[in-house]
Amino acid sequence: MSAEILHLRARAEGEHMLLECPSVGLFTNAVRAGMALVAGARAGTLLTLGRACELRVPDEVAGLVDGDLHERVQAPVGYGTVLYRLRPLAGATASASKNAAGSDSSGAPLFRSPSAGRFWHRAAPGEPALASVGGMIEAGRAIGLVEVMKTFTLVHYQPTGGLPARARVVRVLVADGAEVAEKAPLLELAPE
Amino acid sequence: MAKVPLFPIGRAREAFLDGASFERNRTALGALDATLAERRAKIAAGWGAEYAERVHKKGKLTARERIELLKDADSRVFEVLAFVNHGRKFGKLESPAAGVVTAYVRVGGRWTMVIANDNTVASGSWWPLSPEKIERAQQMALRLRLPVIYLVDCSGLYLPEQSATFPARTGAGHIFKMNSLLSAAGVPQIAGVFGDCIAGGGYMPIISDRVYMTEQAYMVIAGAALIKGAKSLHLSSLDIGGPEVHVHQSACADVRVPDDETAIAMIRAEIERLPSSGAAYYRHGAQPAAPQQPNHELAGLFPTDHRMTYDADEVLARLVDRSLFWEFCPERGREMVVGVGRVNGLYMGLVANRQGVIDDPEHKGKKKPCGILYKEGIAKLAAFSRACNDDGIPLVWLQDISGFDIGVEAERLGLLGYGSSLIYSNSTNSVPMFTVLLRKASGAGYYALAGLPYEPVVQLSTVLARQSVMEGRTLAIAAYNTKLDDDFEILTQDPKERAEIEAGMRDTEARIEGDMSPYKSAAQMDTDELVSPLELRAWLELFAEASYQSIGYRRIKNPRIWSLHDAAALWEARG
Repeated sequence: MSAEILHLRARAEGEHMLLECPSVGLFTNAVRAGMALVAGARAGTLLTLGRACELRVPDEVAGLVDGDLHERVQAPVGYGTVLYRLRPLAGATASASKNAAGSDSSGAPLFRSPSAGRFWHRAAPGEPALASVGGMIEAGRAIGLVEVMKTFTLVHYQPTGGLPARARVVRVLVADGAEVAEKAPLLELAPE
Repeated sequence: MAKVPLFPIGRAREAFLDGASFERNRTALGALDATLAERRAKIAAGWGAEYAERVHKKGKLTARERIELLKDADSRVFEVLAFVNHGRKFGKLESPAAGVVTAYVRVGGRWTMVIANDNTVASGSWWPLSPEKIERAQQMALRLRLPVIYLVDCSGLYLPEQSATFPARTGAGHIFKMNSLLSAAGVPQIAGVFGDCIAGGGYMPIISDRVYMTEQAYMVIAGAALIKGAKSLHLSSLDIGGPEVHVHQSACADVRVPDDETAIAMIRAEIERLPSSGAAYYRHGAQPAAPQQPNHELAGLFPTDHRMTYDADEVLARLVDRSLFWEFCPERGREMVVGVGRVNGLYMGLVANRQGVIDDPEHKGKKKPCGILYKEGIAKLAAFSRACNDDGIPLVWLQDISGFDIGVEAERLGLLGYGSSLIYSNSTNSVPMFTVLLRKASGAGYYALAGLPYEPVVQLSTVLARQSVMEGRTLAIAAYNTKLDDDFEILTQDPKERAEIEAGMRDTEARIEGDMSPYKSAAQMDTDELVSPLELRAWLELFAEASYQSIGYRRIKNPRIWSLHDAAALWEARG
């Protein structure tokens, strides 16, 4: 049985975006500081009277978590409590799409991370980057690695969710070694 | 369910691994395989062409030439323990393969264990670890009730190192105890004596059921060099204990043959008198078949960096017949993949560590890294191990494991208890078990997955394997803990002291990394043989055929009444 999903409420504060809690409960599994949060991403769990609800990032929102505002395990929160403060995500803007692939506000297709972790550009130090600006990618091509708990898994380009079968890399949106959330945009693409 | 529900597994390589990464892996493995081939060739050459020439001049064959002549023409020799004493010096001397060749050899359609003194290395004498190596090979034969063939050409202990070979529990005398135990268990033993057979070595052929002696062979408790008056009487060792004495007077040997070639032909004929292999019967009508997914692709599936992931299911797909597999309990303990497949038509239980990340069963929405043992995975392994033991399905443990999960949750869930249950099962199993270290074999994970201390019949290491309790970097941090801060950075600002600590940590890390080399492991008998991943299918075929060859000594249930079906029925979802 899948958990009930609750979307956080977004409120702008200067160039920052605040994500507020839509209900009362114990906030747990918080996404850590420095991770990217984008529309549709999982943003922790809210336990209310023993019932777990999955928190999701609302549409039109993307940014990097700025500081840890709460304990990661069972922090008591109420209606409107600010759970995350996001600073703008360099190189990527809010997603206008709900699907995993999606595109940015300018309509450019974005390839997103299949899982949370640390994104690496090359298979080993000293080797060329697996995906570089101007390079061509197609289905099955390795474009980087995601490190989760000391294990490294190749990220293969999959043209799902409306992404082109072949594409040129316009921008690499995540720095080498930066932490990413699940579904965080990794590459901006141009169809070929 | 009486029928074994085998399903196709695996995908075309392009569907899960891009060509560039595949080539990268293949190139890296190719270099490691080239080193393996080069080192094997050097070991096979013994002390070199000059010594082989000496043997030939006496009208004899070298140990490896004898084995080539002995084996079925269409089979390959599976040498085990070839790297024992690799890189080890005794004064200025080396002892390639510890001076004795031990190998699974197919003779007349039956797998045998051949133990052949290498007469190109110090006249086949026994070095430190030679006795242990011979005993290990005897143990491998005893476990599967495979006939043992001794090709004896041994001048006794290499005496300058006698303290390391004579008195220990596993000293040379234990070889003869193993001879006795093999005999007591009804395992056929046949000896060919081709040359020297001095002192304790004399007992080895005598306990054998049949003993052939060539005209150049002698067996003596002490050679002419130690017999008072032998010189003036012009007595040679051949006069004292040659075939004239032992075949015709003492009856310590059975048959006298003119030369090596005749002796080998006679030994082959003896093996052909034994019952034929039960393997064909236990195929239950199935035909042996190659994996559907190409086996040769194993060359490029494994990243050499042990931290990088690969798809373990795809490895299994490239090892089992027709890439058909029944995964046992697939929904639970996802970090492990276990199940049954056929190898050369014979049922084998296979266990492998998945790599990468799985959903955390204890915390919805969270992930856990694989290559680690958690509660469900351990329980699944123990249940599978017990069922295979009950059903007589030989088990293959393919290890690529970092260890058990650690921390507050691991202790709260009682992993020590679940792990101990698994260890108890593996320790008391009587079904043949084989262990393959694919890459990492770390910590208690190495133990739990039937590592060498749990006495699998054979343990192989691939050229990618690394056995350790702790990685080099981690151990360096632990060793210099008092000099480091919370982030493991060096505390002191004194440049000289910093340089010393840095050098010390570097040395510790380098030494530990060196100790993890599979060559070092094989040299000190911490693993039985080194192989390329490309050879694994051939080895599994050997394991399957050898496990099902002899009949009547172990339980082999027909698949209709497997306990595995009962276990699966209770695990499977209803409806």
